[in-house]
Amino acid sequence: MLGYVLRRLAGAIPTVFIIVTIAFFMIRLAPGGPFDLERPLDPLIMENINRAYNLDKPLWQQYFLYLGNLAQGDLGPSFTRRDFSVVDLFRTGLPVSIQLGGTALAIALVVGAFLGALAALRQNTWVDYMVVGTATLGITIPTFVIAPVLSLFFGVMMGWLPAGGWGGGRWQYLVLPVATLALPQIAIIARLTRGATIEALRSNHVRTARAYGLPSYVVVGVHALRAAILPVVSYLGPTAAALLTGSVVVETIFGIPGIGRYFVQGALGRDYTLVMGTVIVIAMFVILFNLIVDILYAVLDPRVRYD
Amino acid sequence: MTDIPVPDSDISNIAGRSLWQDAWLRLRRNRAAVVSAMVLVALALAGIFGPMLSQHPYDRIYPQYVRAPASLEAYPRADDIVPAFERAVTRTRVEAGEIEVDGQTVRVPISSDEPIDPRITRYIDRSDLFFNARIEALSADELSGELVASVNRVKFYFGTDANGRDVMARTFIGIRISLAIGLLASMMALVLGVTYGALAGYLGGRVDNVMMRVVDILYSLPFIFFVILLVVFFGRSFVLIFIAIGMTEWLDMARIVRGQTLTIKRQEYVEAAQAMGVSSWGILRRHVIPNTLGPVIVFVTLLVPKAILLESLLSFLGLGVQEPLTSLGMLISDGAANMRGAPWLLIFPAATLTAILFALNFLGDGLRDALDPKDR
Repeated sequence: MLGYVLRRLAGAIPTVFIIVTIAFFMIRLAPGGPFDLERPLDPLIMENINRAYNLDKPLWQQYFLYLGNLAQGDLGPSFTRRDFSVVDLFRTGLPVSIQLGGTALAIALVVGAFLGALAALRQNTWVDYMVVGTATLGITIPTFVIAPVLSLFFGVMMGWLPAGGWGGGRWQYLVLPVATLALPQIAIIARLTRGATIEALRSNHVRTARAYGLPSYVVVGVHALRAAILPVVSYLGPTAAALLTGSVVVETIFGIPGIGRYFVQGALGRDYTLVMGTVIVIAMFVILFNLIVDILYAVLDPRVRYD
Repeated sequence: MTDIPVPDSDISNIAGRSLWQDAWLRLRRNRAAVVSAMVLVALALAGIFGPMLSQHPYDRIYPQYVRAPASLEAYPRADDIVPAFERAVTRTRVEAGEIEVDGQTVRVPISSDEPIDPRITRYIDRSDLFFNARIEALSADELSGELVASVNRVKFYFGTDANGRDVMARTFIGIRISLAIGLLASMMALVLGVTYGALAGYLGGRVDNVMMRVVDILYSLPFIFFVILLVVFFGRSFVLIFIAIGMTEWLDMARIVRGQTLTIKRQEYVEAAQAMGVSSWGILRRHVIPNTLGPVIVFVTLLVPKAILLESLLSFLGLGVQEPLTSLGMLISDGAANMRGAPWLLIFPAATLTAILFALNFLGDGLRDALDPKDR
């Protein structure tokens, strides 16, 4: 298993390299630059700025400079947020995004799997219809509608919770953004779990477990759910990466200082290093979570072997 | 095996039901799908004809009605008429007496040391509240008279936004833009995906391998980022947005059509056509593509809400169509920014978008149940 993990991690290096290369040249080919203002700067000042940020060198030279710095863990200085390096920005923003996304993920997994299993066990009763109906609702309504509506209702009209802000991560500030992030995921996970559980309950190994006379909570809780959770696990890989690296919508509406906004802001402001940094961080999360999913598969499904 | 068709009067007399008739019958029995279709038709009509029938153009600014709350009653409110008229009359710099409101008209006696310039009525007309201002009962020496104006009764059922534009007219135009982008992007994905998928599946072998590897590679790119970069590079325009969305959504379509094509091309009628020397393109057009349409239609109905959602997300991030044109995502973004003082700015566009997405999803599910032969 360890050998497999190491091989996968080594295989990730060329993937990241290709992503870095594509992103680097794509953002550089975009018209405009980070220091374009309404009123152009004095050419002499512009020249000095370009020299300070190595922007006066040929593109290929800049590319290799960037790769060299990247190999040492240096993502360069941010172009639009003066006095901050990209690493600084991630050091303050990433924990916020991870706390928010991680809480939402944990809640979505527990609630979604519970609701889905419940609906499957009570198939074609009102419980089932309620869960499926609510799940359709949760999948259809986009985040950028849920977020302001929640904020408007609970924050502005009722005044029960702060309408926005981070407040150092206190729970009152976490409730609404976590709810916004978790609701659609609960819906999707519930639907996946329901479908897989219905299938698992009909499978041979569950029938055998029943025939052995095992109590029904063991049959469902151990034998059926273990098989039913597999599609959820494979769905969770990319989802976890997306949630932990922050959501631009949620962070914008609730004014949360995470890293979700960096890509859009960086792309609009031609903040080359910030865009590159975001792309690299997201790519690494995606690769990492795909690996975790594959390992979990081997743990949950004894038929899967990687050696 | 004899392939001589035996004419059988019993069978030929039974009216057969085609796949489409069958699907139509089943779709009509699905109440959620029928209601969704009606909602969609109503919203589409609102998007097409709403801006024409609306009392206000979507880009008309009413400076005096900034953030007017949504209301079924007409503006201006009775209490607002006199102060507003007073303010307008002050600008004319003539002596004014008691203001009288009489139903739809306001009148005030005026007098001045110099002859009254008839052009002062423009100060009144300039206000959003009054029109048709005129001077009546002008005395012979032109020093006194009566200033009369009609009250401009306007209705803002959805209220007005932070610039004083009618939210209902803007919601209508938003429906139009969102639906248009959703449909155009889906059409683009449809044409690209069906052509690509049918070609890859029909040609097979190495060509198929290469074509599908390309799709796999494109799949692994984070597409929302790709769209954002495209919009950032080439600026914000209606055409670019639907092309960008279409370019990102055709991959699933290509896969589905390829899978279908792989089974269709082994059918006897395709072999027969090949034996008769029909060209590859002819076979694709006449036999392969029409037979893939069932799953493709289902997929398109689910693609339209996806495209609308993607467009709304772009607009929400400020990368959508340009002001004063608007889309539902932009209106929601505006509403979210103004929700503290003006919740109607958020509620109406958000409810409209949700209704569209709901209806499309239910219709798509209904179509899938109606057209999927495996589900019978």
